[in-house]
Amino acid sequence: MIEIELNNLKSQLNPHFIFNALNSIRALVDENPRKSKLAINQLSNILRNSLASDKKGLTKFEDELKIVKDYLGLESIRFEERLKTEFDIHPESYKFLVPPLMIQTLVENGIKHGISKLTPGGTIRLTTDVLSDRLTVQIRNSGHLVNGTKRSKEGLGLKNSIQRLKLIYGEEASFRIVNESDSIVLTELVIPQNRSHESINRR
Amino acid sequence: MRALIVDDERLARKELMKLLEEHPSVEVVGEAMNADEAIQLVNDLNPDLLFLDIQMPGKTGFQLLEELDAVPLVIFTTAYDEFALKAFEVNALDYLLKPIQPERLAEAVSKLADKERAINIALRGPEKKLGLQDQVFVKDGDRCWFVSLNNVRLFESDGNYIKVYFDNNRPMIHKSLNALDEKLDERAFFRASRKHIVNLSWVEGIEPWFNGGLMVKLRGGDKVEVSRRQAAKFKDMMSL
Repeated sequence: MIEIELNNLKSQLNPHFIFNALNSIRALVDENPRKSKLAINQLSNILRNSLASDKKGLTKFEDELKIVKDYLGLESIRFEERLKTEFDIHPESYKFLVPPLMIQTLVENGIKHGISKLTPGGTIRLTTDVLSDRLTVQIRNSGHLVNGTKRSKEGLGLKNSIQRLKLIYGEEASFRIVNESDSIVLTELVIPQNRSHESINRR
Repeated sequence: MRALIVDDERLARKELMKLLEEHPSVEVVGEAMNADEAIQLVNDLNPDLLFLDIQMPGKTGFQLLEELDAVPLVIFTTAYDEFALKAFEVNALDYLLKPIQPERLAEAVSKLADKERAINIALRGPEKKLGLQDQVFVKDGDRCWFVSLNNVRLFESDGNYIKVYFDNNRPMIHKSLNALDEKLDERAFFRASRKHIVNLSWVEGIEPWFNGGLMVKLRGGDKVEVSRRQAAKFKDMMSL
């Protein structure tokens, strides 16, 4: 039952992103062939993982981080100087398993609703921390949450993420998205170490 | 044909430029990376054609069109946008999906060449007033149209909006009737009263009305009252 529900909630790649990436790559073939080859690999990696993630409940933090980096690499080609990225990863983060494509979805959310709406663009900052066997993932993006007026479609990715966390970790995980300041949105995810949840990874 | 490319992504603009090299009939006269820049360039350069992205920071491509008085020919370009695609399918507006297929671009360009010819044959006013051959962009909820002013029989003010009567549709645009009146070619459109502007080519009959006013009947059955103040002017215009 839980597996079926999880499958329905699994993160899906946004087609808008895929086609925009392909369009940038097409232009890049003339302008910078080497970079275009790299971009094709980044896109394949994301597509492959998004297909494979249907089959697993959790994935290594390391793999998820690679996808996030590939994803941001592609978006940087598209947004150019309008997108800046920063990473601050706690070394113990790599001991954790995480729901596949969840961090990627939250980062994508920050770009879609934050940075892409800003004419000068902005920064995505991904920070992780490990404290008493819990992994905290923080995503900060330039932008501002408008309360109440959000369209339901925009909230779907977040709602799915929250439900997925609940199904996998029960009450042990937490999630929040807030305006940290007038111009920074903070999305925060806290998940426990995987010991008791490993069963879901074996199917 | 003089074209303006509107897209927030440099690479997307570059790719389209490259594709357009195959089409000498289309001359790219400018590029804009957001709606405000585009509006400025449309007014300065007066292009015949816009290649228009929809999702842009600030204003969307649709909002851009709503702010223009006369709208050039438009080809939308979009990667994937369910909402926009729906609007396109309903109203058969021309659009290209990114990455753009060269064959589809060729098709769109040749379709445009036909349209352009039709517009050029028709007389264009000496000043930049909106005449019967000009088109305007109208959006109402999920639906949007390019409407030739030829087909608009009546504008009716309604609060801060104007109802645009054409076919069986009456979508609203956010404008004042006074502002619109100044833009319209007075040989084609007549300010009947505080509330109405009529397209003279749609007038079918005129009857005397109370207080020295007139009642104008339009093809299709709509009736519009001409105020006494305007009635004399109207008679002048409609008589030899």
